[in-house]
Amino acid sequence: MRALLLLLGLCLTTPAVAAGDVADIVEELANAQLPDPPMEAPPEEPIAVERTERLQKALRCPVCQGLSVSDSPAEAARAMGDRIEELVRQGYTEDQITEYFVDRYGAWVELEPPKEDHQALFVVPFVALGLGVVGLLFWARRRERGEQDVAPAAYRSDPALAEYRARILAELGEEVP
Amino acid sequence: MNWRVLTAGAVVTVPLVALLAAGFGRDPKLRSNALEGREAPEFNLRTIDGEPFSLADAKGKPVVVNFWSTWCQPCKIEHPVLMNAAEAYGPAGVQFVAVIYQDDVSKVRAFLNRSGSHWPTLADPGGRTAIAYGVAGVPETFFIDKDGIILRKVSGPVSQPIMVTTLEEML
Repeated sequence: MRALLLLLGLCLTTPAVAAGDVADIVEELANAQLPDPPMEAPPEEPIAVERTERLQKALRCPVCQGLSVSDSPAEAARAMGDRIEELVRQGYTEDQITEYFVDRYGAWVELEPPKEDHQALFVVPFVALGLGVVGLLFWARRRERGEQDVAPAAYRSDPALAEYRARILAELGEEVP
Repeated sequence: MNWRVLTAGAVVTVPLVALLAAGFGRDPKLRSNALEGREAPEFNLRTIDGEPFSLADAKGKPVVVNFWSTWCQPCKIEHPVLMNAAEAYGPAGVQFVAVIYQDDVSKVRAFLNRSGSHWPTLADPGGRTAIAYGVAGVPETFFIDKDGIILRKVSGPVSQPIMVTTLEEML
């Protein structure tokens, strides 16, 4: 149906193309630059719609600032959306279609970059969190030990402080050890 | 100076700063030249006068494919450069071809009548060829060598020196 509408549109908008050339156009459309052969049979309607929508949301409109193909009203995005739908209906898998666009536009065309290319981004927060927890445990332990041991050994044995220690202990009513 | 605090701070901040530096080091808006060095996608289109044109027909000669439109000012700035290059290098065997990007054929025809052209101008129904070439704005120009490999892609108007240097390299 879409091909028929496209043909009709072509015939109406390209007066230079005679009716006899329609067969050529059909052939052109069939032979248009496609990636490798589809890996699957053409999908059922609901699956085709779902895949098309998913891909149109995942791929970036090439002429917009941070908009997906499905979110953009630009003509380029519409053309790209149509191309995605066409490839989905021919049985190309989502990976094949994504690869087709990445090959042409680069990894930039994917709104969400592939995780394998940015492992550090996903690992660093967890490593930082782990280091933070370990640091916190060390700090808590030291603090607890410090509270228990109010008079460390250096303080008790320092002769210069002996006089003050004796006065404090006397005021507290404790015996000098 | 408390070396332990300093070390702990460095352990946390250095990797983060390195990560950010790596991220800031590349321009996220930089468009890919992914197709450079690869085989040029084949296309079979028609000129605005209805004549068929296929990239395969030009195999064996260097080809300059220019995506453009009349609503694009840089394309108009670039036009004289293409005209000069086509005049000078067309006779030497370089095939120039223009592909219309999201524009009306009538506007294109009017512009070419005013400004002239020495190359076939192709209509691209549905923008298929533009997508196949990863065009993300116009003008974009692809220099394809005699073996059909994309030697260079230029985003934005091609300057005279770049045009001449690249064509000399291709011949």
